[in-house]
Amino acid sequence: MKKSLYATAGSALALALLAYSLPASADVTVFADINKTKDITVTENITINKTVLITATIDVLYRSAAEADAIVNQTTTNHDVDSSFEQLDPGIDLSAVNDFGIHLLATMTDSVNDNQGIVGVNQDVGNMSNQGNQVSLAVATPADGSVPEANQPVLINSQSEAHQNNTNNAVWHGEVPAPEGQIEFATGPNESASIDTSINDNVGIVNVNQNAGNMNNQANSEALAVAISLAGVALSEAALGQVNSNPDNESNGFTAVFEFGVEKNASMTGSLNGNTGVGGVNQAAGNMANQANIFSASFIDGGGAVGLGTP
Amino acid sequence: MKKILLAGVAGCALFVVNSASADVNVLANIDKTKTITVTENITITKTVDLTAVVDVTPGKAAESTGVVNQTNYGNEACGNCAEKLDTISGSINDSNGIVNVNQSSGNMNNQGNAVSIAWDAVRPPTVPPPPDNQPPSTPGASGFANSQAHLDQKNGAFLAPPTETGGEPTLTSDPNLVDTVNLVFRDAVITDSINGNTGIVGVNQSVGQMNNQANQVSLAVSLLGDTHEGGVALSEADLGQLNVSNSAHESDSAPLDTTDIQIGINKAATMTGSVSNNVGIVGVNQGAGNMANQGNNVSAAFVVVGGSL
Repeated sequence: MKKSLYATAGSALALALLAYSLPASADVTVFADINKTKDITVTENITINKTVLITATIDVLYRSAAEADAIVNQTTTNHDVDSSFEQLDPGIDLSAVNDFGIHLLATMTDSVNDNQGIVGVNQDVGNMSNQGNQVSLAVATPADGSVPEANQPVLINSQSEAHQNNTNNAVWHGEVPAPEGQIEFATGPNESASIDTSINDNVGIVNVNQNAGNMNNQANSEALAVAISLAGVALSEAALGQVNSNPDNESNGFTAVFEFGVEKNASMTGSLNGNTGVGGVNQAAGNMANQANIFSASFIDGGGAVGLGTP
Repeated sequence: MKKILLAGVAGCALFVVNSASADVNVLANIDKTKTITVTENITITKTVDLTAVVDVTPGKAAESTGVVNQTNYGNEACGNCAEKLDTISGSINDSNGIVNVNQSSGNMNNQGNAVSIAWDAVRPPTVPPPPDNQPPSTPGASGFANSQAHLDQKNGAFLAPPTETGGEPTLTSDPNLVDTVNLVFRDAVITDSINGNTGIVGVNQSVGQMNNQANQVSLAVSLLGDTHEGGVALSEADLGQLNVSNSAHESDSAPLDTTDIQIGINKAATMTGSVSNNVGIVGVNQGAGNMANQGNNVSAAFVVVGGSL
């Protein structure tokens, strides 16, 4: 009996071991619908400091070069325009004065037409304005084709840069109809800038600034480098920075622009037509504006077609 | 028994060595929501060095420099009922050459016209050469023309000189003040003027207060005749306008009673039928306001092969 038990156990163990010794395999198909909501917030802070050093070596010798630079800086700051403190009745409540009767008109009619060359016009009837027109021009006509070095290239470079800064200014204007029994003010807007039938059919460079407002920066600036050659290198750069911030002046108790009943018109009619060349026009009837037209051009003409003559 | 134990151990070893395997196909639908916030701070410093060699030795040169500085500060104008009129009518027409005009009936105005010209002409054949004791000219060589025009206008501030201990000039504020009531008119008028001129024309007109007005032309010309050589032309123009801390108090006067006449401030800058048909360089400044900086600044440099004017 004991041997039988041993034999049986041994057989069972042998079968079990035999069964486990074979690799199990199964074909299983699983169908699953998984709804998964996953919110991932990734915050990446990337700081890149890039230093680019470009050394450009152009393996040519120039026979001619032209370089023009034009730089404009305009700043108007810490101004105030308001009622006449000194002349008002000292006993009057300043805040009750709301009738200033200010009428400023800048008008240009049938003007700045049919000119040739460089024209700059500034017209101002306002307060604390900066108005500038600037032209920088460099022209080189290089060696022509009758000498062996004739086709040496030309290098031209132009840069026109301007910065305008308008900060910490204050305007206080008030205008209401006169009370019954008083003489009415002159009709029309308080501050008006108009250009009519003007700045037409000019050839060349024409710049115009017109201002009837307060604390405005107006600029037109051109830098032109011109060469007549068969080949060459032309570089041009224009940069314009304008800052208008913090229109506030606490010294007089008023802030920024405080206007009521004020009419302003800036109009341009039948103007700026038929011109050839480069031009910039700024027109302002408001307050604390930065206005600029900046132009930089370097051009090389291979056939003398720019009107400067054939070398 | 010993044999059975050995067989069991062997079986366990086989059990450990062999592993189960299955082919599983999984189909899944996954909805995914992902929020990504990226903050990039990029600083790029770019430096470009461009080296250009102009292989010429100028034998002729023209250099012109113009510098205009206008400063207007610390002034006060109290011009009640001060009616003023500036008029240019039927004037500055059909002129040739250089014409500069300033007109002002206002107060504390800076007005300027500056012209600088360097003209390196070609010696005509009929003109004798320089004497022997003079350095000979070098006809046939290349040319060089350099022009600079610097215009600086300050209103309400000035550059204080350095202290006795040295240092740099300090920008100092000293405001201008206008305190005015009741102007029936204050007009700047240009009518049928500045027409048909040839050359360089600069006009300033101011009926207002504390205005800076300037026209500047700097011109450098190098003419190379028949030399057929090239040259270098450099031009630079700088315009700085600073307007600081000024006050304009203009209004009606305080009404004395309900029948008091209210006049107010009435100003006009008018340009009619003007600045037309000109040839050359024209700069015009017209002001009827207060504390304005107005400037026209021109710098030009020419190197002209074949020119012989």
